[in-house]
Amino acid sequence: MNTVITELSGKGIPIRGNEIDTDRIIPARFMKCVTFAGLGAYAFYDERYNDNGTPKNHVFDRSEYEGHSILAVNKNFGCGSSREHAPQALKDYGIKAIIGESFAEIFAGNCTALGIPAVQLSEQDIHEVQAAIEQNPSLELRIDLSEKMLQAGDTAYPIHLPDAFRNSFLDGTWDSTALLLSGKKEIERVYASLPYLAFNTASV
Amino acid sequence: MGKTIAEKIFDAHRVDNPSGTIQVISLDRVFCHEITTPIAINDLVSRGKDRVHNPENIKAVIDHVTPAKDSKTAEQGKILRDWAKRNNIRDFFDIGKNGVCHAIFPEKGFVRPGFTVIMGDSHTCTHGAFCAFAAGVGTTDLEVGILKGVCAFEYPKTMKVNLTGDLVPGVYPKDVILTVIKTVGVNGATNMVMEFTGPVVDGMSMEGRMTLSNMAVEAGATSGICKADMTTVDYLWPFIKSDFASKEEALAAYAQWNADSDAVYEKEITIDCASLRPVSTFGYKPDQVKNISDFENTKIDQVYIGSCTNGRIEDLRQAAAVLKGKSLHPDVRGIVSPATPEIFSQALKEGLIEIFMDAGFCVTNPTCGACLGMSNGVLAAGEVCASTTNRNFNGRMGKGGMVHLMSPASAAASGIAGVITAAQ
Repeated sequence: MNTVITELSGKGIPIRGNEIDTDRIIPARFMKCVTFAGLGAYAFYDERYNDNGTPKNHVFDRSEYEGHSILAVNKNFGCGSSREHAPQALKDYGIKAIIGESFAEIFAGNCTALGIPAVQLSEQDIHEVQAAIEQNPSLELRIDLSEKMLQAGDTAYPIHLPDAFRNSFLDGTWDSTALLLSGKKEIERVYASLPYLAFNTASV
Repeated sequence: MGKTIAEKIFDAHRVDNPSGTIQVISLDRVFCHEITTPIAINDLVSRGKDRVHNPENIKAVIDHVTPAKDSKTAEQGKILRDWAKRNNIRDFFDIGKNGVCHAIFPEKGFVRPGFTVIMGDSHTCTHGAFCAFAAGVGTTDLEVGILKGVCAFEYPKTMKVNLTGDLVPGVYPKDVILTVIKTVGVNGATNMVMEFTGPVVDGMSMEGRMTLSNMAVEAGATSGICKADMTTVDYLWPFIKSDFASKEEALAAYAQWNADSDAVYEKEITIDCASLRPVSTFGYKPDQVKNISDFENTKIDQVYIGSCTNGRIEDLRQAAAVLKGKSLHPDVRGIVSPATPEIFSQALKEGLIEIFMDAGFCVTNPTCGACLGMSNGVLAAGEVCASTTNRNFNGRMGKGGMVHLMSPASAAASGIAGVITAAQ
């Protein structure tokens, strides 16, 4: 029912810096929406635009990165607020995968639920890949989840992502909404076995 | 082999083990607010699945922007309100009865030891103070929780945080957790649960433990958990007294969730809290923490006392004790947001609201308010706030603003002095 994701190809967009939090990816004032559609326009808004709305020449608006789909980031990307608006904004902008040194836990989980692999490279490797993209923005990147590697031009780098996430891409079960629409009986059995069901459902 | 608190809770709630270490657990509580839930509701409606797994387990509140400030936030509130009504969610807290989610839900007795809790809010870890597994999730996971009463997580690894020594006067739970974050780093506990233990935690009230657990996520943790003890039982007693013959019996039932003495931890750290002094953050990361005595003439424009971290009655008492008979510095604006109507009402009875008003504070209704710069109390570019909230990220409280995180007592003292200062 779901799409199996074994590999993704595209060109990169480097965003340098550690601890880029979800408030920076999408400031809270853009969270007054009631669907996720169209959030891409606000991704990194305060870093892309001046107060008067003129662009600051952020990588998201530079012509050499136009249409690119693999974001290359550093350490603890997506920390802070659990807002799914952050990966949704990146997805709406056109990001299909993120490579980086490390990711915040909730952010990585949200990305997986949207079918966006967030894969880790060593600190040295990600710096090298970012520099390579900056030097040659049209560098072709290919993330191979089954072989656990990133091909950047002629160079291959080992990648890491938790087995559970990797398996969910490889077997197409990453869409948890669809996945968990099945299995009702088992859920009820566990509920019935809980030792404190009485207060679990008691009104308070 | 013994188990940690999180392992015990997972083992009791496991529904399925679909993929490697990922486990699907049943949920005792799905908490909802008006920012992240309406998108889930709209998606469920569009899928033709506008229903909930168990309306008794779902608790909802409008807290981030209340009263609504414009048409968009009014629509978010309306979607949540209409959905709660349609789906017979009785515990829905609307204006007049609403408060900050992580303060009002514990206050209503909704969280019990051994529970599993999710919410589309990263500070859901707060509820771990009740010996529960409580974690923030995205809207997609929240949607599954609403519809199916389950959520998928990695089987938890636990970092044990031993907090030893006696706190000196002027040092509060906020100083302790900021020091923990400084020690561990902003991603030091990523993919781990923090279990707070030791005499400092034993001596803390539930309010203090909630402050500790609240900021576990700032170290990257999934949840911040404290063990169940008589303090937990005392807090919950009004809600559980018909379930148990005595408090001792309740404690015996709840203590089953506490960690075994031979539990295996991924990592252990010990912090001697006797040496702690009042601290504050500097910079834009919550692990950039230093003693307030090391700040030199750092002028502030605003004091903010409130939020899911420090907007509870104890916090207001601590700030009011410093402010009593004093006034804010003429260059400083003060805003206090009691976290729930009950806290507001109690603060009124105790004369705390009068102290804040006499000192020159604006007292707002219970709301998340200035913390995330989404409604009131936003900073102008270049302004500085001494704040009892949980995040000092660049732009968090308004574009170009600087937030210094500290305890309510330190925030109050800074408001009087006009510069970052600890209470005497």
